Amino acid sequence: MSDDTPIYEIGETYLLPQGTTVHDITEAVARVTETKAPRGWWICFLPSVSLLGLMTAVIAYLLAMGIGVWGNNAPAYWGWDITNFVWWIGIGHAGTLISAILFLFRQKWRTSINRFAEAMTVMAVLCAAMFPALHTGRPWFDYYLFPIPNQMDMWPNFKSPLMWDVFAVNTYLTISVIFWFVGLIPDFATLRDRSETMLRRRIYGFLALGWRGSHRGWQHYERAYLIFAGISTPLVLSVHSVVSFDFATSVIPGWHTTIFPPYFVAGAVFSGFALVMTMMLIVRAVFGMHNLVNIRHLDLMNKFMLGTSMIVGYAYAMEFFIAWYSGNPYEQWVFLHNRAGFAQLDSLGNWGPLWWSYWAMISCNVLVPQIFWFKKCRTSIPIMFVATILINIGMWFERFVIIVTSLTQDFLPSSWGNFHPTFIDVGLYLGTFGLFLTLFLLFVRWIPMIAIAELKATLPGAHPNLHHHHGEEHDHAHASAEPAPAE
Amino acid sequence: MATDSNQQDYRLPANSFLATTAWKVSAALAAVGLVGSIAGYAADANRFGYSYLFGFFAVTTLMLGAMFLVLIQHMTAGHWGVTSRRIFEVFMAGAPVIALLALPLLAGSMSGRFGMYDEWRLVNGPGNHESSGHGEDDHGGAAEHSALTIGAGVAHAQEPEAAADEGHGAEHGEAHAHTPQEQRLHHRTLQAKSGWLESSVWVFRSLAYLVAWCLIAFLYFRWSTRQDETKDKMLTPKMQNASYLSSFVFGLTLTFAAFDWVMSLEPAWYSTIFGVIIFGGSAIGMLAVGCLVAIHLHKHNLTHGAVNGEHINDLSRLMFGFICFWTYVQFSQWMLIWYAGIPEEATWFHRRWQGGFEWVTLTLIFGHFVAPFFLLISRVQKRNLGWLQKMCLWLLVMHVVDLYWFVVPQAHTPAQLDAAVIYDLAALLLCGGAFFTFVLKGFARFPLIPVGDPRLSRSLHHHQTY
Repeated sequence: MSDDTPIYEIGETYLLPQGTTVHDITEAVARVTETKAPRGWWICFLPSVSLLGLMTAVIAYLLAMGIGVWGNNAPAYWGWDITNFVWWIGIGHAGTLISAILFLFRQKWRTSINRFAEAMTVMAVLCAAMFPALHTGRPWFDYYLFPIPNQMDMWPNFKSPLMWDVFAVNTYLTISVIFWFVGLIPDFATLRDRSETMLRRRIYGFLALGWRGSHRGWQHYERAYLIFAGISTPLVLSVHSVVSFDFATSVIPGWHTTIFPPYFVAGAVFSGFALVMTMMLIVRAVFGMHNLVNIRHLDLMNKFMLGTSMIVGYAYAMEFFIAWYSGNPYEQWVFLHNRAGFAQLDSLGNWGPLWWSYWAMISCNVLVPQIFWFKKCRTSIPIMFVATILINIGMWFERFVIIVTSLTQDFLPSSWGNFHPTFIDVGLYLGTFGLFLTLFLLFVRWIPMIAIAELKATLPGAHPNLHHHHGEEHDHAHASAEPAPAE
Repeated sequence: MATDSNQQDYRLPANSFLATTAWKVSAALAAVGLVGSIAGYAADANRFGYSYLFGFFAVTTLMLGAMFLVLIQHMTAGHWGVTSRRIFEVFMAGAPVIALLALPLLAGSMSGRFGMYDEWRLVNGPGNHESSGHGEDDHGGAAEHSALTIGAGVAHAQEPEAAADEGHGAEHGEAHAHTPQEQRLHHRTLQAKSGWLESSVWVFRSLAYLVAWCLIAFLYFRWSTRQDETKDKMLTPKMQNASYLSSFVFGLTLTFAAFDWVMSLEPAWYSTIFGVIIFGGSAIGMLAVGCLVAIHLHKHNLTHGAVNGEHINDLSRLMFGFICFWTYVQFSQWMLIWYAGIPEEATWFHRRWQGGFEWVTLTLIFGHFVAPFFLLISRVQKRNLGWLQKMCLWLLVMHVVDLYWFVVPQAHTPAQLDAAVIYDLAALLLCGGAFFTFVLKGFARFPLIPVGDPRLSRSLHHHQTY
């Protein structure tokens, strides 16, 4: 019996199609970096670079004019900038969850998607960092964010959650990059050893840090991997918790609520998974990775999204219920009027002006994922492709709803206002997609997009017959372990 | 010790401690608790209501923790936990005892003998609040309303001190200390949700939670024990499919039970994360108990290595994770309320930082997080079963302290060793004793591991590679 022989009767299958060899995996993944890019890659790459160009232009304009060109106003002091920041940071969370938490829980199916998702983490954090950096208005002074001793004796406000964000996001980026790189070392060595040109051999050889695949090397590597997983696990929770503190430590109705930290984390993982899925479906089609990332993986990911959607739905329900239960008229106004719209009308009988954004959020984040209760939807590529895009739209609206509906109508009706995005807001958001996609496509093209070594370890042949060493002490146990399905 | 028949079917040997003595000890403790509880009820039924709620809810969380662990095992279809699953199933099967233990609580508060929910019960009636017609003349704007509500909150926060000074801490007439204006606004806040908190609706919901838990526990226990006999593999996907909806029901019922039974003790107070905190604590409590049982089974070779150090180590790691999770959610609640400093929210923590409860709070911070974090973080510590056993006992005590901290400060009595605390203990013994008696009898009646699970052989050979 092999430890992982699937029990077909109860729906278990091998992770990879039977007959997949270690060589197949190496070939499928390494080939991408060794051959010319397929046409599909160029079809994706050119618009991405164009969007990157748009971003550059918009930032140049922004720097020249100042952040007044955004739609932010009084009272909507925060608008799309922070919305986009939170959204992008959230996208990154799936990568860390897959690489660290699912690793600690020994979810072997993660090996087909972890590299991919980790890369997206790094790129998403870079996109996210653009927004706070720009919203200071004078990004060339951004070093003030760091507590650097200076002759003016000026320090950042350590009591501010925005300051905690600086530490949280920087720590997250650092650890994510290192973790990603450590995982890549054996695969870089594989590429180095397959190289046919001196230049490739030099570059990948440099990146492989002298990896020789020795027993001792693997031992160190696996220990390091485990330690990084351990360090990254609290980071998955801490980063988005700190982001939620930006809102929840205030007294603004709709922001100040105690469930925010776990709610933000769950939402982040939810949207991150959705974007990983969207990107994976495209790349899988372009590079023909159907065997390595097969329907089984997609099915599991969809289940995961359904689960996180339910957690997010739970948080929405708690917020709404407690807003009513609290008896606090401001909380009730934000939830019943500003968000739900129809539940409490204003004195003129109008719905809340942004009701549609709340219902877009509920529809995309809670209703759409319910289709994943059905196996047919979990295994249909067109359905999941559309659903994951809708989920990400919904998750963007979630942040927009939280930020804008709370700010525009708070305590004092005379200071109420509204928010309208400008072309620069839209351009910058689209532009960060250019940055993200460009980096991502370059990653796919030059770096092994699936963790070759880790994936190989899930093949049936990779398991030494562990039980043989210990079988004796369990022999009597075996007798009653009827039926022994995989003997 | 183990007999031949035990080797065949993994049943508890008839002469083992678990089968013969353990439940008797537990029943004896329950009897002692019953005597103490009767004394407590006779002495001060009002105060005893809090004691009983504390004892009852502490035990309920163990059952809920067990239910969570069973459901999550089926949902994730993992193999490492198969052999230890039966432990949690047996604890989960104690749900009917929980339902029985809930009856005195429901009856006591319905009949008005337990006064802990009176503040909102009486909001529409001729209670110690002013009459309901009082606020009619006030049609002021929302801003005015809330500003005054906040005022009421401040006054509310000072109540325990005032009550203690006056020397009748157990009384529920705290609104006496307020100005009429504050009283009126506090009253209006409560009146707005009186429909939700109204007695019959509250009892109906409570019964619904209990029925839901009994149903989930019954179905899962029956499926699993039927699989022991029939070895029907198809029960496994069935249990997995049912786990999704069950956990949905589980999450909502746990949350609202926590709201209705515990959070509503302070009827004007609210926190969206409250259910999540209770959930985190439940998992720790049950994992501590589960580890203790697993260590006992392992040490006395009752399962012949089917539950061994590898499984116990995984359980203890999960417990460690939940210690961090509990801390995370508790910290989130405290930090956000402290940082915002809104009086009507801060009052809840104010109660827990005076009258001796500051020591309970500090005990939780250091005993429920700091100490276990450093004393269990290393693999060496978790692999030392003697050490782990002590830590699990400690964590179980801390879990009880955690529930004490949630419930008893609301009784407006100072946390000192007087008769009231003895009655708290008595109620805990009564509820815990009754629950454990039932559960321990269950261990003697069913195989100690789910012998029909198709993933069993994989679990028997479970070895951690990391």
